[in-house]
This record gives sequence, C-alpha cells and structure tokens, in this order.
Amino acid sequence: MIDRWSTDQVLALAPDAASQKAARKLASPAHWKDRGVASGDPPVLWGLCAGSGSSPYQTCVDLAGPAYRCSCPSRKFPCKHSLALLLSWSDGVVPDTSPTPDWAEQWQRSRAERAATPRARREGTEPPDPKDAQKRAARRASRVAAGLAELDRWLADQVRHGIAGHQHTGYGFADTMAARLVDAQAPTVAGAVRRLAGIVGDGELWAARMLEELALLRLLTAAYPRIDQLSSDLAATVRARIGFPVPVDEVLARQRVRDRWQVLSLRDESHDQLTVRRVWLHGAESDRPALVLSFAAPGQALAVDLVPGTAMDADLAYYPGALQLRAVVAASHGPPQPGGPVPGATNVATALCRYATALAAEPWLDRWPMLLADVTLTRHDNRWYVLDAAGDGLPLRASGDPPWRTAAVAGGHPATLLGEWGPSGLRPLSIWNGTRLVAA
Amino acid sequence: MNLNAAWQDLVSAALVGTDRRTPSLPGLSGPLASPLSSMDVDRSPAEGLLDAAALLTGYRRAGVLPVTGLARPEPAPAEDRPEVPPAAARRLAGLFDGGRYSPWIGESPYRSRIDLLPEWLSIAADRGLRAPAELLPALLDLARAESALRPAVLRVGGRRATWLAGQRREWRHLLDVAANDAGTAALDDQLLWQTGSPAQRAGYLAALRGTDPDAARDLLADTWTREPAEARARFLRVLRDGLTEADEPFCERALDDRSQQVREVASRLLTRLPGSAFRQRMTERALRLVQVRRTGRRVHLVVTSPESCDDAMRRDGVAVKPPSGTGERAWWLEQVIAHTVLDTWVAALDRDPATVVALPVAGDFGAVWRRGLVQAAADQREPRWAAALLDDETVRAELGDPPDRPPIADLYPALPAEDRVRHAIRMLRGATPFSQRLLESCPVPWSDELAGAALDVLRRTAQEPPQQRLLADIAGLAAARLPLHAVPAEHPTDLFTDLAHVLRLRADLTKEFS
Repeated sequence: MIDRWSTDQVLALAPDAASQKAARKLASPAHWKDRGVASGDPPVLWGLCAGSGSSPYQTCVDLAGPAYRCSCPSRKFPCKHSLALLLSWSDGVVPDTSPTPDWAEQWQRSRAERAATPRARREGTEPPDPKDAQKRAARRASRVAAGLAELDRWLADQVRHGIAGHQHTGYGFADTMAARLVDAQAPTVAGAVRRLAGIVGDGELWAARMLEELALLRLLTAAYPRIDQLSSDLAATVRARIGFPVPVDEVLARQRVRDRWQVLSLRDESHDQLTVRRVWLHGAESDRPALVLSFAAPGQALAVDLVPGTAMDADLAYYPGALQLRAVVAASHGPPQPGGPVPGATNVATALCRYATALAAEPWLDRWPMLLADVTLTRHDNRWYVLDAAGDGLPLRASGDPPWRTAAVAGGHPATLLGEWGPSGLRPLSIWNGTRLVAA
Repeated sequence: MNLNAAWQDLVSAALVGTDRRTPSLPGLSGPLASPLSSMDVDRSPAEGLLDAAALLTGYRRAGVLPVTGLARPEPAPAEDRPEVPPAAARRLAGLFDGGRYSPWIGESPYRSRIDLLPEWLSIAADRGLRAPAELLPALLDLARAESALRPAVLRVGGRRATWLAGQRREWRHLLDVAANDAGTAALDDQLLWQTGSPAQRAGYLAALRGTDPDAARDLLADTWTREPAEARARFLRVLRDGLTEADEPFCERALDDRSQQVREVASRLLTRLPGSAFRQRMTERALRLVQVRRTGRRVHLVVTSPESCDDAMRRDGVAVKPPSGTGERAWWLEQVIAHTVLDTWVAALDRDPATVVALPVAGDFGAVWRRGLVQAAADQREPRWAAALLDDETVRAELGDPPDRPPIADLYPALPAEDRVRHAIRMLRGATPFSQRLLESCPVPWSDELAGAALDVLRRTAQEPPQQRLLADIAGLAAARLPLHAVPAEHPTDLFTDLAHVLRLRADLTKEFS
C-alpha cells in the first residue's frame, strides 16, 4: 500500500487558498455518500460527494500520478472534491474495505492502460497532414527570419547610438523589440531581449555585461540566416535559442540514455505568467548532467515526480543540440530510491575546464551545472566564494541573497556542492550535508 | 594591445556609440588575431564591434581562472545533540513556508503557521534535540524579531547556531542571550565581565551569584561608581536571586543613588529582605497612614495621605512627581502602600488578606489604598494577596476594566496556577471582562474544564456574531493551548473546522518527534 501523504502535501496540490479551504470543509464525512481505496496498480481513491446537483459527483484520484477525475463542473484542477478526498485519506478516515464501484474500477483500468501506452501514440491521435505542417513551418520560418533581421538592425542601433543612454531611459527600452519578437514567433530570444533591461546600471560592470549580451544576440541573428550550413546539432541549438518548439515525441524518438539518475536540485522560477521548474539530474554511470524543465501556468500544479535526494533507474532522452543538456524522462525502471552520496564531483579547475568545453559547443550557454567536491564557503571583501581543497576559488553571484542557508549547512567545513555557473558567478543549488542533500 | 585592453576598448565604444567613437582592434596576437582581423570594423563599425565582442565574450568566459589566495573560515565545532527526526525537520521547514506572516489557510484562528513554532521548539528542547542546520538562518531571523523565542532557538540550534550567529552582524547580538543562558559556562571567561556587552556581563554576574553570592556583590561593588545608570539598575536586579541580609548594606547605599531607576530597584530588593531597616521604615510610614477604627461591632479603616514627600521617603524609592491625572498626595500614599510588606497588614489588623481587602475605608483614599495593595501583591508575588484582591468585587470594579492593564494584569502571574485557571473559567463564563493576559497566563495545555469553558464561549458566540473580535482572540489562544484530546467532534462553524484542523496539526507535530 502506498504511504499516506501528510495534510500539507495534499494542500500543496491545491491551485489556490480558496480551494484549500473549500476542500477542508468538504473533507468532513457528512459530505460523502461513500468512499474507498482501490488497491492495485495504480492505487485509486474514489468517493461519491453530495454536491448541489441531484446526483452525487464521482471523484477519483490516481495516487501514483497523481491524476484526478471528477464529474463536477469545476474548472479548477485538482477540484475541491479531489482535494477533500485526499485530505480524508491522509487523515486515515477513508476505508480500504468498501467494494470499488464500477466507474472507479473503469477509470483505474484506463489509468493502467495509459501508463502502459507510449506517450507518442497517446497524444498524436491523428497524424497531421504533412503538407499543412510544411506550410505552417515555412510560414513560421519566414516570420522568424523577419523578426531576427529587425533584431539585428536594432542591436546595431544600440551600439551605434551608445548604450550609456539607457541609464536614463531606464527599464523597458527593449520591451517593444521583445514584443515584436513574440509576434515573430521567436519567444526565447524575445525573453533574452526583455531581460537586457535588468542589466542596465546593475553593478559597475554593467556596460560590459550588456555588451556581452548584445554580442551574443548578434551571434544568433548572424547564425540564423546561415542555419542550413550549420551542423544539425548546432542548428538545433540555434533554433532552441530562438524559441522553435521541439515536439516531445521527437525527443522521445531520439536515442535514450539509461542510467542511475540522481536528482540533485529543484528550483522554481517565475517568468512572466509562467512558473518554470528546473531540475538538475546527474547520471551515476554516464557522468552526464541533465536538466528537466516543467512549466505551469497560474493555478496549475507543477510536476512532483522528481525529488531531490532521490535516484532512479531511468531512460532519459536529450533534446537535440550541440550541447545536450535539457532532457525528458522517457521511461523509469522502478520507483525512486534514496540517492545517497553524489559521485562525480570534481575540483574547481576540472569544473572550469568542462565549462570551457561546453561553452565551445554552445556559446550562448548561461547556466552550467558544476558539481564541486570538498569546497568550503568563505567570504572575502564582502563577496562569497567556494574554495576547493587545492585552494582554487570561484565567486558566487554578487546579486541574489547571501548564501546563509548553505553556510549554515556547511558550517565552515568542506562539502560537496552543486551550483549553476554563469557569467556573473556561481549560484549554489544544493549541498550534501554528510547524510543527505539539502537545497541551498 | 592585450586582450583586456581590447575588450575595454570595445566597451568604451559601445557606451558612447560607434557614431562618436570607432573601436580600434589593432595588433592582437594569438589565436584571436586572425578571426578578429576579418571583422570589418571600418565599413560597418556597429556590426563589426558586436561580432568582435561576441568572439571576445566566448574567449573570456571560457578562459576564467580560479581565484587564489582566499582564506578558509574558522569551522563550526562538532554538535553534541542529535538532530530531530526527519519528519520533525520537514515539519519545521513547512512552518516557514511562504514567509513569516503568510496567512494560514482560510480564516483560521492562527495568524500564521509560525505560531506553531514555540511548541515545536519546546518539544525539541525537552528532548535534547537540535534543528537541522539549513533552517538556522530562518530561526535566527525569527529570534531577532521575537525575543521570547531567543533562548529556545539558541538551545535547539545547537553549536552551529552560535557559530552561525557569530558570522553575521544582524545575528551577533543574539549571542548575548546565549551568554546569559549558558550560566556557569560563562564563568570560565573572566574577561567577559571586563569586556563583554551589558547582557554578557549581567549573565556573568548572574552565574557568579549562583555559585558565590558574596563574591558577585563584591565584584559589582568594585566597578559600581563607574557604571552608567542603566547598567547599575540592570546589575542590581541580578542580586534579587540569593538575596540575604549580607546584601542589605550594599542595597541601602544604592538608595542614595543619583538615578531614580536604581533607587527603585534597590527599594524593591529591600522590600523582599525580611528584617531590613528599609522594611521597618516603610512599615512605620504605612501604619501611620492606615488606622483601624471600631464603631460598635463594625470595623473600618481610616486612610490618610502623607503631608509631604520628605527626603527620607524619596531616598526609599518614593517618586515625587505623580503621573498626570493623579494627585501627588494620593500618589505618595500609593507608593508607600506598594512598598510595604503585605504581611504587615495581616499582623497589624489581625485579619487574613481577604478580610483586610474587604474592610470598608473612610475618607477619599479607599481606591488608592486598594491600588497600592494590588501593586504590592504584584511586586511581592504574594499568591494569597493576589487571589484575595482579584476575588474582591470592589477591586475588580475599580481596576478590572479594562482588565489587561497594570496593575491588575500584573496580579495574574502572582496567582497560584489553579487560581489563574479558576479566574479564567469564571471570566469565560461571563462574570468578568475578557482578559487576554489572564488566559495567556494559564498553564499549557489547558485543563479540561478550562478547555470546555473556552469551547462553550466559541460555540455560544459563534451563534451571536457581533463578538467577532473576542471570538478570534479566544480561538487564537485556544488553538495553541487546548489539550490535544479536546478536538471538538462536531464542527458547527468554520471556526471549529479550523480549530480541529490546527489541533490535528499539533498532534501530528508531536507525533513526528517519536
């Protein structure tokens, strides 16, 4: 039987506070005509909840997913009935002896079949007309080309008129350009252009940072017209940096890497209206890093299947690119296990060497995972550094919160640390405290 | 031209614009020479500059060298207490989720999850466990804001918390508390008395007072005249523990202090000292002002006020200037009564405290007399008197509303625990105005009878909505203090649903430690 979740774990799934409250009220036995747990694979909670209509709502939760189904008309997901059912179960008041009704059994079967079916078959119900697809692709390509050509002129204008003036014009000088790129279906580069505003006036060296970013955008606008002459991997990188989507099916169809993947860190960032969850994995055998991204619009719950500190035997499929970093979990062979100590950590010199190699493959690389062995956190002139056993140090990013949490865990002793290295320094993500992995 | 100079040249040109300044990229040798020379800076300066910058950006980023010559920090000492179980650690992290004032779910009786923290800390402290290191920054931040939690945070934080607090200016003053708390451990460090912060020095003095009371007093006497008034008052207060006749001369001298604050502390100490000359003087003053009269079988008191506040009275801690709204003679009277040992009245009037309090008073000073008694009972922590005063209808009528203000609120801590509970129950049943402080002073967890009375109010008031404030106050206190088995079975209102939820959380929180 699956371990019961805590109340807080359940409430964390709620899309908003109102749902939490509504669910707590609904959790009372008075609202339920019948409830039960259908053991099996996947284990399913079910219940009949008296709603405002004449017939009760049929609510099901797949505990392995988690996935939800409810016959209520709510557009919130998961709905309050599903949450209330989970809350009661976490309190231990859902009987596991009630006979499972047909509708719940049916759903359980469909969930089991779904789990057994490859994702590709599930999602593409009908293969799209290849001619249509080609037409659409051509249309997008020409829009992108026009957008990037405009960006190219805009970049040159910045340098021609001088970037010093932005200190007075302030934020938003790049917003119009960014919006044009969104219209041109180049969302990723649009985001990069919008973020330029944050560099203005940020620290003494802001002008140098700004020139770096403008130059790297120019590298992209110069590369796109020649994309046919680039190697297919580099072309994929350019397309990804511009924002061409890669269908998951295509990724899943690529070669897979089976390994014992250790989940090293999880961090949520919000971009515009979207929450992005970044999870770094490390392959114990392959000694390869992998980045798994998931996205959620407001009110949606993020994927919860990758838990830092655990490891799993799984197949990963990498997205195409000159530097293959982003990946999806294609198939897992068994449940996650406790991760244990993290192998593959290196000293600072080796980490910098690998970064240089990665950068050679992908010049736009802005965040590279560094798994550092026996580093000590130390402060010098109000700046934080990690210092390895050989006495080599790396600066932490000057912006952002001081790393007190990491400092507390390390206690001035050497420790294994995962961080993202970028042009402005290292950002600690997690640290091994001797018995477990702790988020930085 | 070296690489850095070339890069600076590009940045300068980009800052002012290529319209005004053309970058020059002459004479670079090495691997970049040939690609850079192919860039046409002259024909299209802006594009050429960007291309050159892109190349140099990659080159510079890939060529970052490690920083050398950094010093290592002093590592934290090894811990001597085990960490809390993983479930308890997860719970603690959950209490901090969403920030300190993130509202609880819905309109719960709790302000925020953090309100569960004191209970968590006290369980951890009782079991000799320590909090996981990653939560220490959050705990130290909280300890800065909530001074009541400081000792618990530093205890449960283990040696790592002390080490960490030493690393950051904002946390460093918390260590004063640690020094205070460490008690005798501080005695190893005699320098602490000479060079420590006032709190550290008070901690040192208190520790010494615990092992050698006379030595502590003599140590204080050595530097007495050189201490600022604030410190004199603070250190003198330390002598309260282990006070004996041997301290009387020193305290008497302190009555001559320049500072009213110091005189005040000295007079309180001397009031506590049986047989002190100070007590004798005050008693004589008080007995001159309060006399028993009999008319037939009826007995009453005649209370008069002092004609003046002479030097002797002033020296004994009586403040001359009354607070605004109080007459000065009434004020002197009140202070004399407040500084007089309460047993004086039992002996002089040959009556128990309850009867003394109930005696009718002739003249205008009845209320002042009772107010003085209340102050005395609070200062002297006299449980019998506190109980008698709180039970007296006249006292309650005069001073009991609002009930959360001194001096009456100061009586609650002086009451024996069972009396506090009794008064709280009576209050909850509506006999007296609601006092948050009284309810707060009841031992935790609440007795079944008290819990029942509180739940009754919530049930009753929930149906008569105007009392929202009261409802929230009681529910807020009840959530943290109800015994865990008091989970109400039925939930007539949302408030009860929330209350039951909080109690379930507290039960979980306790279980997670085993």
